[in-house]
Parts: sequence; C-alpha cells; structure tokens
Amino acid sequence: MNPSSTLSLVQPLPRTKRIPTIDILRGVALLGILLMNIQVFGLTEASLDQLVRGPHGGNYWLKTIIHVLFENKMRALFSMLFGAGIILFLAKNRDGSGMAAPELFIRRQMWLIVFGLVNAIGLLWHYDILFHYGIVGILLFPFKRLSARALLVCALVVGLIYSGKNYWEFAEQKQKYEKYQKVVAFEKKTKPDKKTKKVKLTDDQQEEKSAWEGLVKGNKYDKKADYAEVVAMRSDYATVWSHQLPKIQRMEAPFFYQIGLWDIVSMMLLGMALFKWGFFSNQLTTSEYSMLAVGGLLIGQIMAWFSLPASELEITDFAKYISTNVLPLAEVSMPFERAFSAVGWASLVVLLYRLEIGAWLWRAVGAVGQMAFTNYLMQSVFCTLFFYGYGFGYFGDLKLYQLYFVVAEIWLIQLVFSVVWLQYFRFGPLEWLWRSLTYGEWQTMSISSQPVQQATPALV
Amino acid sequence: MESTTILQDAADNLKPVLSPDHSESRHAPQPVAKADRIQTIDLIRGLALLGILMMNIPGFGFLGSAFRSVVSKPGTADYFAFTIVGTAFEGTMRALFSMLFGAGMVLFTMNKKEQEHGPTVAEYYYRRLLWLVLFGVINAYVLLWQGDILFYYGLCGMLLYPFRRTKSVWLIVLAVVCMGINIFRTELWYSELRDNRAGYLTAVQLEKAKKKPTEKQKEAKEAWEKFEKGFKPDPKKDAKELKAMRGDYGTVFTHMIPRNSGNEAYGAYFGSWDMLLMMFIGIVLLRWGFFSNKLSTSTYATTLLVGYGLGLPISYFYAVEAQVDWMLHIGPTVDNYRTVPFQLYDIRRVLLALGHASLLLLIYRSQVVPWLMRALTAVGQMAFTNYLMQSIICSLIFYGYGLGYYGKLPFHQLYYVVFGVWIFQLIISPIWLQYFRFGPFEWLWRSLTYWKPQPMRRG
Repeated sequence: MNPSSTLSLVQPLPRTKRIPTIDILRGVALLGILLMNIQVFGLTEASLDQLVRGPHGGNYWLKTIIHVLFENKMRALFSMLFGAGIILFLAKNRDGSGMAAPELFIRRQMWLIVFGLVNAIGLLWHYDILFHYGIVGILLFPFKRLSARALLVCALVVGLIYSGKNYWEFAEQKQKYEKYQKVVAFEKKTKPDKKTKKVKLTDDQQEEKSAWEGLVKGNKYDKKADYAEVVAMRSDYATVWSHQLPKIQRMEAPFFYQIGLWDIVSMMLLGMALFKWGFFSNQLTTSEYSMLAVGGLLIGQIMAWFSLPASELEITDFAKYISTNVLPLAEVSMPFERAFSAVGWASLVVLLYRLEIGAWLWRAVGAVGQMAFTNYLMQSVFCTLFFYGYGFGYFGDLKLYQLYFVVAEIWLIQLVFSVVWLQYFRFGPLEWLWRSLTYGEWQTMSISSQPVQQATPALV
Repeated sequence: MESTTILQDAADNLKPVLSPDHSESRHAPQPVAKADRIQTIDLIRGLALLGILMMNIPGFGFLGSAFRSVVSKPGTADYFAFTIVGTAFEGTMRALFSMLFGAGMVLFTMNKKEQEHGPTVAEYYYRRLLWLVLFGVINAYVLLWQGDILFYYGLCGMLLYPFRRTKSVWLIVLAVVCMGINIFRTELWYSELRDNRAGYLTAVQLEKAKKKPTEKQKEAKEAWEKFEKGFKPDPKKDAKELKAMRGDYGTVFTHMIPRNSGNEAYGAYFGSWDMLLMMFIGIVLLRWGFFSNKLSTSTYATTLLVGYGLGLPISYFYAVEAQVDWMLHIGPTVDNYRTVPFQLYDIRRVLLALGHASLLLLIYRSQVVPWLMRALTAVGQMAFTNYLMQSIICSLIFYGYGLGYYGKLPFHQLYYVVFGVWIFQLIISPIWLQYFRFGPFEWLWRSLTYWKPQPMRRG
C-alpha cells in the first residue's frame, strides 16, 4: 500500500480483523447454493419437473429433500450476509473524510453489476445473482443508518409485498380459470353450428379460452421443446449464447422487477438487522443460538413440508391446483419460511463452530467464504465448461443423483484451493481484481509484503 | 488537470451563501436557498418541462393506432403538427431534461458540506433518489401516466454519483459508449428483423411455387407476420382501448398495470443508456458554464447554428421521411434500409437540444421578453411540481374518470390543450413562488429527503 496515496486511510481490512463466523456462514451459503444451481446447470428445467410428475424414485426424493432443506434458504443466507456486508463495508471505511466510504461503496456495487453482466452474458449463467446484488446494494445504501428494529420492520414489509405479489399472480391465474370455465359451460349449453360442428364464440370468449389453455400448455411437459433445449445447450458457444440471451434478459429485467427485487431486498434488510444485533458475528449467547437453531429450523421446515403437496400439485396437475386451492400456500409462505430456515441453519453453524465440532472443516469453509466472490464465479466457469456444448457437453446427460458427484468434486476443489490460496495471498484472485477496480489502484496481493501479523485462525 | 480546475471554478461559483433566516440549521446539509440558484438552469429546465408535454400529450389523449391516418394525409393540420413536433422537438426536451438532471446531481452533491456526525451528503443524495423512484411509481400507478420518467431518473441518478469528479473527457467517452451500446442493440434487433423479413419473402415465394419452406424460414415468416400485424389497423383492439381509457378509475388502473410494469421493468434495463448518455453530457456542459450563461454570445450563436444546421436536416429525414415510411410501408422500408434510420436518433437529439438551449439563452441575454423568461424560470424552479401537475391535469382531461376526452380530439387539437397547460403553468408558478420558497411537491420531496418539514413560506 502506498502511504502517500489519497486513499491510504481507506483500505481493505487486514485479515486479522475479519469476523470468522461471517466468512464461515458465507462459505456455507456459497457451497450450499451449488446444490440448487447444479440442477439447472446440468439439466433442463422441464426434465426436473418430470421427476415430480413421473414415478417417484430415488432421484425424486433427492430433489425433494434438497428442495425442502435448502432451496431458497441458501440464497436467503447469502443475501443476508451481503446485507451485513453493506454495513461492514461502510463502517470500516469511514475515517471522517465522509465522502470516501459512500463513494467506494457505490463504485464497488457498480463493478459488481459489471461482473454480474459478465457472469450472465459472458459465462452464460442465466441465474446469476451478482447483477441483482449490485443494484439492490445501491438501493439499500441509505438504509444503513436505521436501527435493527426498523430494519426488521422494513424486511417484514418487503416480505409481505413479495408474498402479496405471489398471491396476486395466483389470483390472476385463478381468474383466467374461472373465465375459461364460463366459456366451456357456454359451449356445452349452446347448440353447435351445423357446418363447423363447433359453438361460435365471441372474440372475448375465444381470447379467454385460449388464455387459460396457453397457461395449462405452458405447465405441461413438452418433449420436443425439452429435446431442442438439450441440443441447443450442447452446441458451440455462439449457439448457447443466443439460446441463453433471452433467458438472461428475462432474469435481469421483468423477473428482477417483479420478483427478484423483493426476494433480495427483504433478505438483505433482514441480514442488516441481524448483523446489528450481532447475530452473524458470534455475539449471541449459546442458548440464544440454540433457540434460534431449533426454533428456526422447526418452524421453517414445518412450513416447507406443509406446503410441499401444493407446490407439487402445481407441477403435476396445474388445473386442479388452481381450481382447488384458495391460496398459493408455497408461494405465499416462501418469503418467511426460508427466513426461518436460513436463520436456523446459520445458528446451527455458529453453534457447531463455537463448540469446536469439526473445527478443521469450519476453517476451510471460512476460507471458501473469504473468497466467496472468486468461488461463486468459479462455479459458473466449472459448471458451464462441464455441461455446456463448448466444454464437455454433459448437459442433459446425467441423472439427478450423478450431478451431486460433480457438486462434491467442486466442493472439494474449492475447499482445498481456498485454503491453499489464502496461505499465500491476502485475497482471492477475483476479490483482488474487484478491490483494485473499486479503490482505483492495484492492491497488494501477497501476504509476505504485509507487516508481520498473526496468521488467521483459518491457516493455523 | 484542466477539467478539475474548471470543476473547481464551477463549484466555487455555485457555492451557496447561507441565508440568515435559517441559520439554526447552518451545519446540516440543506436545500439551496433561492438567491443561490442559477437562474438560467431553472430557465432551461422550464423550457424542457413545458416542451416535454408536446411529446407526452398523444400518450395521454391520442389513440396510438391513429398516428397512421395522421401521417397518411399530407397537407392537413394534423400532418403539419406531427411534422413540426417530430422534426424540431421529439426527444430533444427529454434530452435537455436529462442533461439538467445530471448537472443537478453535481450541484446537489458539491454544494453541501459534510458534517462530522450524521448522514453524509451521499446518503441525502441517495435518499432523495429513492423518494424520486417512489414518486415515479406513484406517477405511473396512481396518477396513471404510462410515460413517467421520474422512476428511471431516480435509478439512473444512482449510477451517476461516482462520476461527479470524473474528468470531462472521460464523461464524453462514457456518453459515446452509451450511445454505442444503444446503436449496437438497435442494430442487433434490426438485423434480426431483416433476417425475418428475408425469410418471410423466400417462404412466400416458395409457397407460391408450391414448394415447402424450411423450418427456419417458417419461423422467420411467423415472426415477421407477427411484427407486421402491429402495423395493421385493428378496430376491435382500438375499440377496447377506447372503452378502457374512458372507463372509471378502477378500469383505467387495471388497464394500465401491465403497461406500467412492462415499461418499468424493460425501460430501466434497456432504456437507461438513453438517459445516462444525456446526464453525462449534462455534467460536462455544466462544468463548461454552458447552462449558467457563462459562455460568450458568439459561442452560443455558433452552437445554435451548428445544432440546428446539422440537427434539423437529419431530423427531417429521420422524423418525417423515415418515420412516415416506417409507419405506412413497413415491409419495403425494411427491404430498403440496410441500417435502421433511427440510428441517428441520439446524435440528432444532442444537436437539437443544444440548439434549443442556445437559442433560449440568446433570447434571455437580449432581454426582449424578460417577463416570459421570468415566468419560464419559475416553471423550471417548480419543475417537479409542474411535471406531476401535467399528469394530473392531462389524465383528468382525457381519462374516463375525468372529462373523458381520450381519442376524441384530432391530433392538432391536442396542442390546444398543450397551450392551455403552458399558459396555466406559466402564470401559476411565478405567483406561487411569490409566497412560497418551493413548489408544493418540491417541498414534500425535500421534507422527505431531509426527514424534517422544511420551511415553506417566504419570510
């Protein structure tokens, strides 16, 4: 670090000051996210739904268990930690100069948006979250001063909006169904035309009928489309690119506006609140963590199992799902269910860390978390190269359970790589790039050039 | 180096002198007192604000599909109005508005001193923008104006902050990059359109010769036909639209939901370049003293000549020739133009916007119509209020829960409404500012930003 530089007062945190539990939890969330992402990296979404529709074998149970235990929860935890990171970043960089911290923060977020675009449009991972995190972080910047309680209230409100939007979507579908029912009843009552042997419908009726039929068709397995997708994904880079581009744009524009925004904002706000209470920094008592672990997982898991039949029915028999349900249970409860489970998982991890159960493992996971940005992008690189056509082209080829050999392999690589890398360097390679871009000057990378400090616990 | 001194100059010139009447809050960042406002910035903003209504009014009260009959009858008053607006104004007022928004960011953040404790200037800035986003959402979903821009300005403004000290050269480079992205995306879209058109033509030929087109050609044909359908008259759809827009509040509200959410979702993602580009240019122009009336008369005159001299011919070609062709003969137009003529859009906008602003400043300098300039300045000072007021007035004139004039006026008569609103705003703004320090919505916005009711009455 050049001491004469204008930014010398504001610089990356030396490693000894890092909060180990935050890194560990981030590592857990990062590795956990791959459990869900691998399914979409390796298989078509239509074929994943087929597991629910078809005879329930081992793959179905594997998918279901992962769904109930981890789906949405790991992303929730990741978002919470990102929210905590906002406060951490802004707090540690403020040295009275005032301007510097917000400025750096916004720059950092804008580079994150750029990295997100690279991950999506370059590496072709359409479920990229960095782009979204970049934007949401900027939106939440003025919330950093709120009290933990106010942040919790905000998180609740946003969660309710999210839940309400999900309900709204369901209500619209139900409305379509009811209109369709009326048209069908009309068709039955009315005598058909002699020539065409069909009941003549008005334009409105025709529209209402096809609106619902389109919805049902979209929820059915389309073998041809499924096959076409596999073929496209196993092609060269240009083909995969043009195949993925509409998906990417859908994720970054309408999906973000309708769903992603609320999904991420609610969890980041909750994370900011929890951070202010010291939840992530291992500051609660053991009994508090135990209560949160048991309570969170119990409530979250009960809600998840309870809403499972409805969400399966939505896949197996969409018409029945819409007609028999009053409330889209799974969708409406999801914003809260996953918060409970995520807090439960996090508490459990902190407890295990505290009790020094599997201490070596937590050290490695902490290293993964410290290099979360590198590892997140590395997952995109590995998985796209393994599954997409311009790499090994295994897309659509593996059974669901086989995907988890790939997951285990990647976990192992990332655990080992992170520990080894941090032995020699202060940051992960992409963290280094990101920081250098944010601070506008090359950051010192190697450990040896730092003043002598105690090595972090992660490396002892 | 040079640009930083210019910036410093600008900042010095713009430094507020705190007026004594609110000395108790001297240390906290606060709104700029009236005396410190740069008059000409308000003046230009006033022009942009009134001008924007010319482009917005069809969105409030004119059936979109009726444009085709407007452009198909040269010589009529409707055609005349369309040509004037399309040639001289379309896009330019929004450009000026965006430029001044960019300049406003610099003024807001540079004018305020950091305090030792409490929120930073950046926090105020971002709070302000978050409220703006919310106002935009209200403008769209409550006042039911589908062409709202506040939402996008709020979001784009958030990206602008780290660029307030960036050297002017780099800002211009960024503006060019934004323009390039726009052009590139349009080019991608257009080349796909041309492919579809070509596929359609071969497919039709093959079918005539009783041969089977390939799967790809079939797809292209379908895509083209779907696209072309949007250009054909659809009386049923029009009737539906008219009925919905002339319905009660609930009907218009539900009718607008998909439109608003579509606009906001895609507009922010695909359309931000359009605004960011102008905002970057606006910051540079502010530093050069363009908006604050600091340049020489000959500079403004040259800008005027170059802006209009290049801008208007492009504009005539773009707005009249190409656009009319596009609306009336989409097929042959796509066959004829290798690149879509709308690629000149942004260049033309910048040129004309600079021309308009220079003309206005020259008039201001010559002091021919001081009363009009004062009124326009007042309109600009209350731009936020006036912008929302346009939504309120126009929706009440055109939508069913108001007077229900939607789709009833011929195109040129829309501009009678525009003149009416202009005169109203030109009169009411100076009167209001005689008694109050800010416009009513400005007051609300400021009070929310500083989270404390602001003094409103003039002492």
